[in-house]
Amino acid sequence: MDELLRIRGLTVRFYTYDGVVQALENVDLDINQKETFGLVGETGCGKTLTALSILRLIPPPGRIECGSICFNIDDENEPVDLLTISEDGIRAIRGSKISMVFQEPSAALNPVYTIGDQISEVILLHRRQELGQRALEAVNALLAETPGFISTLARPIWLMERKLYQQVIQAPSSLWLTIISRIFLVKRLLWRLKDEAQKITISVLGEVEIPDPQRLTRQYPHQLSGGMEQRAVIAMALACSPKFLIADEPTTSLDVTIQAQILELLNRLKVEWESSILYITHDLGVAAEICDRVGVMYAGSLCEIAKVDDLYANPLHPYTKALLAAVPKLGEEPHSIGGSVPDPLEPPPGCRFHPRCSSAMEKCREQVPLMRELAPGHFVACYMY
Amino acid sequence: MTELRFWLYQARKNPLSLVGIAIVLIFVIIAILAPFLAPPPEGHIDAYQIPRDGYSPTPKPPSQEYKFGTTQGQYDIFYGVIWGTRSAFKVGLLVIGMVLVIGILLGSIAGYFGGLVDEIIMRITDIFMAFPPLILAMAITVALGPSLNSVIIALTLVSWPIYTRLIRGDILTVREEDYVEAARGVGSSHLRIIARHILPNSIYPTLIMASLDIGAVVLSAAALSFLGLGAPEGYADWGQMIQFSRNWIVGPPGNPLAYWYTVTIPGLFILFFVLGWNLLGDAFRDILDPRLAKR
Amino acid sequence: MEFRAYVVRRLFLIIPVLFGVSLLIFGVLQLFSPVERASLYVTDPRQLAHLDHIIELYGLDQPVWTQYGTWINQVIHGNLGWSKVVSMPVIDAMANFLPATLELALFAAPLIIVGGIFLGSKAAAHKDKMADHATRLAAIIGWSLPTFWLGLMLLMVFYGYFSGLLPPERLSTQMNVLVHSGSFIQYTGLHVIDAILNGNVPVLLDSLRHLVLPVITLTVVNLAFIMRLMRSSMLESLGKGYILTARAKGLDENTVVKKHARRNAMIPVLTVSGYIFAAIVNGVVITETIFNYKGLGWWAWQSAVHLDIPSVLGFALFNGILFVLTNLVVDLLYARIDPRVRLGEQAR
Repeated sequence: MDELLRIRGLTVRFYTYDGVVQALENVDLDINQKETFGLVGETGCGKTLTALSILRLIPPPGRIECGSICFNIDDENEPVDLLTISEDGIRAIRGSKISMVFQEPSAALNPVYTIGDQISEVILLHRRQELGQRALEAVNALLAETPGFISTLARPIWLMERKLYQQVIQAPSSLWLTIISRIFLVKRLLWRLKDEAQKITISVLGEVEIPDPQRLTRQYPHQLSGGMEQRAVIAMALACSPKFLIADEPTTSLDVTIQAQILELLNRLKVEWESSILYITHDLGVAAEICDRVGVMYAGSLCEIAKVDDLYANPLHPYTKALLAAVPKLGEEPHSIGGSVPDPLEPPPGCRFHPRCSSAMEKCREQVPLMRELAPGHFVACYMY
Repeated sequence: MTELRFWLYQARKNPLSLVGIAIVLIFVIIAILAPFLAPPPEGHIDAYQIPRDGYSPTPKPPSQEYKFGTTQGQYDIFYGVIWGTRSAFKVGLLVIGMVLVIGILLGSIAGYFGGLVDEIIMRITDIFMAFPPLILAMAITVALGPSLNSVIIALTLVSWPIYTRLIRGDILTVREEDYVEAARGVGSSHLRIIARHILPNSIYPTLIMASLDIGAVVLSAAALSFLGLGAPEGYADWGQMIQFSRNWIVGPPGNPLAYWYTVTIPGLFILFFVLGWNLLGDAFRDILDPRLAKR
Repeated sequence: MEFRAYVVRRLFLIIPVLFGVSLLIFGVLQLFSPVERASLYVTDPRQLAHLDHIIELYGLDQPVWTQYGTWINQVIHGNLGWSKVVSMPVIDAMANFLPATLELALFAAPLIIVGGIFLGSKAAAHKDKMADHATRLAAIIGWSLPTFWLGLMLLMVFYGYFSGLLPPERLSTQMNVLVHSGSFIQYTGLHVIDAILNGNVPVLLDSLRHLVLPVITLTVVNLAFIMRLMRSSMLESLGKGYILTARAKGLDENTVVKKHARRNAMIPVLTVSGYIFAAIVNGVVITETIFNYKGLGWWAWQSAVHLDIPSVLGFALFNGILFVLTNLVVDLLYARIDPRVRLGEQAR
């Protein structure tokens, strides 16, 4: 299987008033092409931060201290390190190659713009050449087909438009175009780009199974239900057919029935669009349903990575075992994990789980265990093995 | 203790707030020490009345005797600004005090009981807030007859609606809290619930912010005095001293800045007084705003 | 469609407020004796000799409610009494002084709003950097400046020190004569616009020269206020989820700030723009007084100093009504910019 993303030694720290928070410590993670990788763990263990690091969107006062995130943009080129490429470079990747769906759809949508505006914004940004091509075709069709009288009147404008769209295709970021798109009225000549973006928006909204997408494009976020909002957010993330979709607890704030629909939708789209998904959740049940492989995270580090069936059938790390035991099952008392999540300001030395671990050894208190491959594809960071 | 540490941290992060504290303290000291800094002359009846040296209309520049010079009509500028500090505190504290009493009273009645009472009180605040404050204050001062007391009453009348609304809003947020329900459940009287359970839990931030508005109140009072609607002539009052300087902005030919002291000195006193409180207010706003806190 | 319903509903809401405004002014009026109140109904100086007659005619010794009826009837018919400072009916005086004030406000208001919003969002975008600290300090100082003192200091420097560079009043004596002569047609009463319409460059330059200092005085304090508000509102907006979404879309920082953050941040600024209007009016009284700029504010000051009751109350009533109408416009604008208000009923 080909690798899509390879995270090595990712370390993120927050410099706050109370001290330095070690939010992520030496995270190693590989994600393959066309797979769904689940990242599970308790709230605050660093799942979301891992995702934000990939997009280089860690909010201040957080900083990525070290590590590398290599991303395979396409098969022809060498993988790039997302942490070292230029600001323009990462921006070109955000939203087009890698996009993200957030936990709270109502917060993720801007309340003062219509859904249509917000989705076509991504398309206008990343698919400009394609839009130019479509617009050019439309103008050419007009030039060829429209009968005499109207044509003589509008012809000069159409010719101008054609010139501009050719520019859009050949040199989308030329200074000349930037100037044109700033000038009042003159910029209206580029209106077909918006028009085409709108058409794509409608078709993408159709993809995410929204009834009457035409109408939805004119609606504002507050007019939609939570499920519809999340579909719109997913549509926004998929608008440029990214190779890699990060879904950060996309169903947590939704009703159970809608949750199931969204999961189904993600599964279907993944197969159709041949992209990979990093699915972040605290719900082991959801992870089992949707993921191919799962990584378990605890207090800023990964402790176990395995194929999903493997993990559930044969959990190795004491934390994974405790997590699985804590899932309520019919007719059984769930077992809670003793102790509490460590203080991120003063994490325990050695393995961060040792204060809560029943089988902790002397070594666990002193040294951080490293990830080892115990069985093919089953990694664990624990001294017990 | 941790709270205090946090506040100190905030203060360090925002050094301007320390400047604000320093400025306000200096003014407090000036106000307290006024009788020593500028002792009223022998046989002076009202200490707030600025002593004058003759009736000559032309201001005199700073000298040994008059450290900041004199205004038109020979009022001592130094004496005026020092005792003016006291007048400023007097106006500011009185207005804020009265406004808060009205605000807490009406605000808690409106917020706690709701319904028709709330509606009536809120519509009255609407009406008062339907005027630009200074204009309404001007009209009220004229109606009551220009004097310092009229200014105090007028400023109270134009500022109470804002605080009443703020306090009402604070109370609405805690009215449905469990501990209030609990107190209601054990049969506490309305007055007791308001005084013991609601007010202490809701209005401290508003009270602190309101008391920092002293600067703004003094600024408005000075504006009214400047317009000639405030204290009687010769009363130690910054706004009035600036009014005295109006005709002396431009000096004689060849020396256009001859009378700079008449306008600059009282103005700087007002500016720094208001600035001190505003700096404090700015710092407190950051501390008290829970959304911005601990970032 | 929904917008129209909102407009109608909002229009109905101002009726009780306007009633309250008139009641409050009437209440202030009750602080005066009948003789003083009689001056409200005078429309001609000759009537001043027969105040007893007026008291009887307008029932000033009648019960309060009857008096309110008489008074409001007169007000609705435009009779606000006699302004003794300028020797003309109050309503005419207001019409007379309005253009000057309008001219001042028309220059200051855009500076205040555009400048404040621009500087405020700049400061927020560079939070805790040098630019932020500098603008923040400048804003606090600006906000603490006494308008009247600032005006006088400006005069001291630009009129005194640079002998007559930027003078007080509206026009120099010469130009004033010219403006009031037959050859100069006063279309609007706004000198700048009239000068352009008449094609008279000297008047244009002269009136602009006289406008500089008052406009600066009026702008500084209020600009500082908007700037501070815009900064905090912008900071709040920048922390919202949709900003993260916008960044995750790959938008550049400029677009994120200008398109996504600023529009949301402007909503609170818009809600207080009614207040800004009030602040400008407050400032106008002081500014016009300092610069002897003969507009509404100057007239109100003159009336207040001479205890000219009808003028002061007429001015206050005028401002109250204007303020209520401004707030109406603000609310409607608010509804336009924020779809949640406009479509209020449909939500959820």
